[in-house]
Amino acid sequence: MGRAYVRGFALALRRWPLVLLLFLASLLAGLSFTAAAWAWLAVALGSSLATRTLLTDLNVQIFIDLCIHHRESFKMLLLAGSMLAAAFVALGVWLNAAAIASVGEEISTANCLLRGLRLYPTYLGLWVLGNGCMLVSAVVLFLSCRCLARWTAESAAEMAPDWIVAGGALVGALVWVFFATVHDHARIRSRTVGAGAVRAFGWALAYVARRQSRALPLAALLLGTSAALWATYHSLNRYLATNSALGVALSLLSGEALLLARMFLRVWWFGAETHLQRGREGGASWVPAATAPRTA
Amino acid sequence: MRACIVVERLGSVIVPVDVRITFDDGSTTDEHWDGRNHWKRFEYTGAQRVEWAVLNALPLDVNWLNNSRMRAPGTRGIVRLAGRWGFWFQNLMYFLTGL
Repeated sequence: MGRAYVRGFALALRRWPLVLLLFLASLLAGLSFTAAAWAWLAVALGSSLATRTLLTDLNVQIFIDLCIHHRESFKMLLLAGSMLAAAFVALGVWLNAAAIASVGEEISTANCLLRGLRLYPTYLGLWVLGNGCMLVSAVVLFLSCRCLARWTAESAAEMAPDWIVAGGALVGALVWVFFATVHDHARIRSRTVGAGAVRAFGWALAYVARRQSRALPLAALLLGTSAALWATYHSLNRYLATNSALGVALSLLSGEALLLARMFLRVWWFGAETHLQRGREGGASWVPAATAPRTA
Repeated sequence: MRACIVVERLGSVIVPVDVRITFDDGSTTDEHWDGRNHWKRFEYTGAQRVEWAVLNALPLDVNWLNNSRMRAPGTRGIVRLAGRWGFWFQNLMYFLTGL
């Protein structure tokens, strides 16, 4: 597991153009939504003093009034956001496929993108499967917590509802980590052997659930790295005064730096998981392009 | 230079309000309006221009956004908010494409 972690880091370093591509797509998504939000805010706020005071004071009353008095245009912003999200998720599925191809085979970035395009239908199916499982789990968890809350409504324990919410959140987080790991391993498996979405997902479910595979401890280690990144970002941001133009600019820049680091972490994640799967099969971490399994 | 500020009562509830007018040299002046009529005009003559006018916030006010008016709308507040929303949108995309 430790070797996979270190190897993943080295692979991510070598595949920096893919990291950059993932980041640029993310930046484009952010700029697109920022532009839409800017246009809406400029119209909704008009020439009120809030256009200036929001820099120093994020007054909740302004948000309430924006939602109440500009409800129709706010719905339009949400619609535009949903459309942008759909477009960038579709783009993200492709770029993630290219990133997985990049850590599995020593091919050029252009070939990674082409390989990602070929894998696209399967990966889209895997994305739907992964999200479907998450959605069903979330609904089951919510209903279970609700039943439990009703059952303990007459209980003398005053903290019972808090414990139920905390327990539900913890189980939800664990379920999310499990399915995210399954989704990743299914994508890697699909690229390696050319399996379809359902077969790859079923294989990954069994693989991740098996204790010997050490897929979950590796995911936990990478998640810990991600949490450390978040902690660093928030610690540094505490020193930025966001009530000045310079402070806001630095805050936005540090946010983009965090996202760049997270994109690096994503490729690192794929590299480590690919190495883990290869290790299980006793193969090398890199497969020469000529011998790499072809996918439909 | 002549500046004119018109304060209008949009509803039927009569409430006295205070108006603060800020000029481009940083000076301010406070006015009081009993709110009995539908509107009230304040006029100023001098070298400085009016930057903004703002009413004191009333707890029962249904819309706080129309309590102020600037000569030229600011952009920094919008940049901060829109940029922050864009950042969270990026994080949402990261989360959605991860799973």
